[in-house]
Amino acid sequence: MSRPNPHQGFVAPTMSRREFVRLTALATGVAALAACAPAPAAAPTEAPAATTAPAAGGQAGSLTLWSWEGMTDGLSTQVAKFNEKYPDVKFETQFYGYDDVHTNLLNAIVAGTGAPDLVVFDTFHLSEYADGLADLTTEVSPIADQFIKPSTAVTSLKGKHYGLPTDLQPIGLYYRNDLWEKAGLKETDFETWPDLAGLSSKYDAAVGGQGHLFLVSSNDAALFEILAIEAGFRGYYFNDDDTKVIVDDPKMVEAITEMKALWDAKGTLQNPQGGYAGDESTALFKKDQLATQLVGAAWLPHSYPNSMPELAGKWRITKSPAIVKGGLRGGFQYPSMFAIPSQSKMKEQAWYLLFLATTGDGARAFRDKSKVLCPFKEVYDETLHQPEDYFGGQKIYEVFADISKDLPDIFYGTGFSEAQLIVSSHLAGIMTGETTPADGLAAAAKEMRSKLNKG
Amino acid sequence: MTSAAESLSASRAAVRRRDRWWRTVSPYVFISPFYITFLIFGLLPIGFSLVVSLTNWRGTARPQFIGLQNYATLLQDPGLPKALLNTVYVWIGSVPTMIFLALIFAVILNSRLVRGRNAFRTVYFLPQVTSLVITGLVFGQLFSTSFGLVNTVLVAVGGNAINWLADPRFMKAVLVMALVWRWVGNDMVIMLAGLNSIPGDIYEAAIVDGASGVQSFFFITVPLMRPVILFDFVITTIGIFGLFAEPFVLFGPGGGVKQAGLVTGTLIYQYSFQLFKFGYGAAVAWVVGVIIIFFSMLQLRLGNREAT
Repeated sequence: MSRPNPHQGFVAPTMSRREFVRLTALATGVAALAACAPAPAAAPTEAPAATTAPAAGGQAGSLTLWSWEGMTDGLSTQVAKFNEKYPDVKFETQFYGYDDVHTNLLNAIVAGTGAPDLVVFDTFHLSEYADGLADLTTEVSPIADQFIKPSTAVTSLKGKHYGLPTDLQPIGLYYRNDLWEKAGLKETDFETWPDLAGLSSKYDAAVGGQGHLFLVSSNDAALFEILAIEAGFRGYYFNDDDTKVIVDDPKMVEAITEMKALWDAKGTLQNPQGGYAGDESTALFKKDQLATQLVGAAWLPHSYPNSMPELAGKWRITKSPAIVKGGLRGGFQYPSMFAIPSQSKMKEQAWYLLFLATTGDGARAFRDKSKVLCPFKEVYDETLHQPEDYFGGQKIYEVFADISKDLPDIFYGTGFSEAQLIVSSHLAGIMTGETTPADGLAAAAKEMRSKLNKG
Repeated sequence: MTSAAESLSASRAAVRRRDRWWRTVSPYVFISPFYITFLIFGLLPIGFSLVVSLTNWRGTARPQFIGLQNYATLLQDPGLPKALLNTVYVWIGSVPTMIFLALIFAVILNSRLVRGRNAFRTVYFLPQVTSLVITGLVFGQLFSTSFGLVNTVLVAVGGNAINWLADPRFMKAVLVMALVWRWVGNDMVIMLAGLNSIPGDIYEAAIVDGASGVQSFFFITVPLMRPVILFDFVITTIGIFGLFAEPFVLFGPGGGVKQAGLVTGTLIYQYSFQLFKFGYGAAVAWVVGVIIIFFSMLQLRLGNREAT
């Protein structure tokens, strides 16, 4: 039995739906393939042999940089000098948010097109981008010794240099000198983390419970990373050749047990909102309710005077505690770096600008503006004995230099970001007592090995 | 003469064939933009994501086919059950509340007794057009531990400050509040459209029969709105499983303390665009997609069964 045709009188199509769909798919497929086909004049995949002293003149055009705000303060002072050598090259900076620079760069590398000629990113992302970056080993190797270690170690991967660093990020301990003095504490009162945990209850008693010596965050791997470096793991979560996960190593279990003791110490502020830096901790510092920053990265002298100008003169910096007496004191965070995507058709010019931005006057201008620790030796040496008003005239760069000199050659292995997230998610259970440090770290290691395919 | 006639006849036959061909093809030509667009921006990416989920593609290096390894790893990934459970909590907390409030607001704003109905409708819909980032920031400020308005009020009335954004017990509650605030206006508009399709004489007949306002609501409005409510229920459920912006802004891609704010949308983002594990991210997306389809079909089936 057939159903009545609601479209009687209409000429029934003789092309079946299946045929139509097949034809449409074919047409779309052809169009898609045509769109995906490489352009006849595709960008070269290999970097040309740029030199550290490129010839004057040459290619005209536009040279584009991707950056987030604040990272181009040194470079912008060097554009005139750059244009003396390359008068026909127009320089343009495109600013994006911090996350967007990293995501857009990967998208451009994946797409094989659209990357800038020069880019700034944080060094722990290097392993993710390396396949899409120009190998600058020939250019960087001759000048690598002009940079303080381990800065060029973190801008290289598997023996190849991919750019130059903008800053050096040793980690110390920042403390409010006024609050410490009021509580009768001195920086010489501690050498190890257990010593510091002991000071927490002393501080709590001195202020009558109206404040905290420090805060410990349960979902932030920053403190874990300091402890990993101090425990001798220069790859943070991985062994020296980046093949094995080390987070369940007995040394790390011991270190995290000390972190748990910090968390449990009387008077510790347990995780106001996750993380060590942000609006919450800033508010607490301003209200004199928090006296110490445990994760005192070297970029904080840039941000603290802006976010807490009223605390000028009250801060001091010292070395982080060690896991054991006489042990290494201090960690290392993630400097930023300039690099050149291999898609760039102006690698020679981009290298010259990169070189100007990270050395000499470019590095000097960036240091002056940002107050970060400059990895270029010449500028580093100039800064070393400079007193900083915000830190009560303390020569803070001497402290950072003291921390840096003991640091090993740091590296960020493959899967660094994921390892960081995994550890963060397991730390919370350890800190709140749901699991022991040994079991929690074993679970984190198991998850890491499964997801990162490491031993 | 014969040859001219034959030629003319052949020409007419050709024109007829062309006309017939065009009549046959033209409907497909007119609807083809949709299909071509759907193919390029819908089916191709879906198919591509399935292929990607079987590889270890990380963006830069050439992807390698690894079969079902991503799915096998996913079975042991504590992040997925956590994200699914969190999403279900948020779904339970937000969807019934949202739909109930939307229906109530729609009924009130559909009443002729309310003055300035259009102004109220606009006000309720405003959160929908507010930037998601601003929504996240405002809620972040409101529920801040140290300087948030909510805690300030709590402390002023003798309570204790609550760590809303870092205490796993309260994080999802903040997320639910943000979602209800943002989406109730959108659902209300859908409900209003449904209410307008109910003939007014049914209510008049009910009044004549002596039904109260509450009785009319439960015995006329709710039953006749069942298809609209079901539709809203399904699309809101799909929306919750695809939720991303609010938890991302409030708790970050990692989901905050103990991943209490991690939902399926942020989990997919985290793997794909923060860790650049496109293969693994695609596998998570497929698993979540299958779950969404299952729940949507279940809802539709249950809803239709109740309706019949």
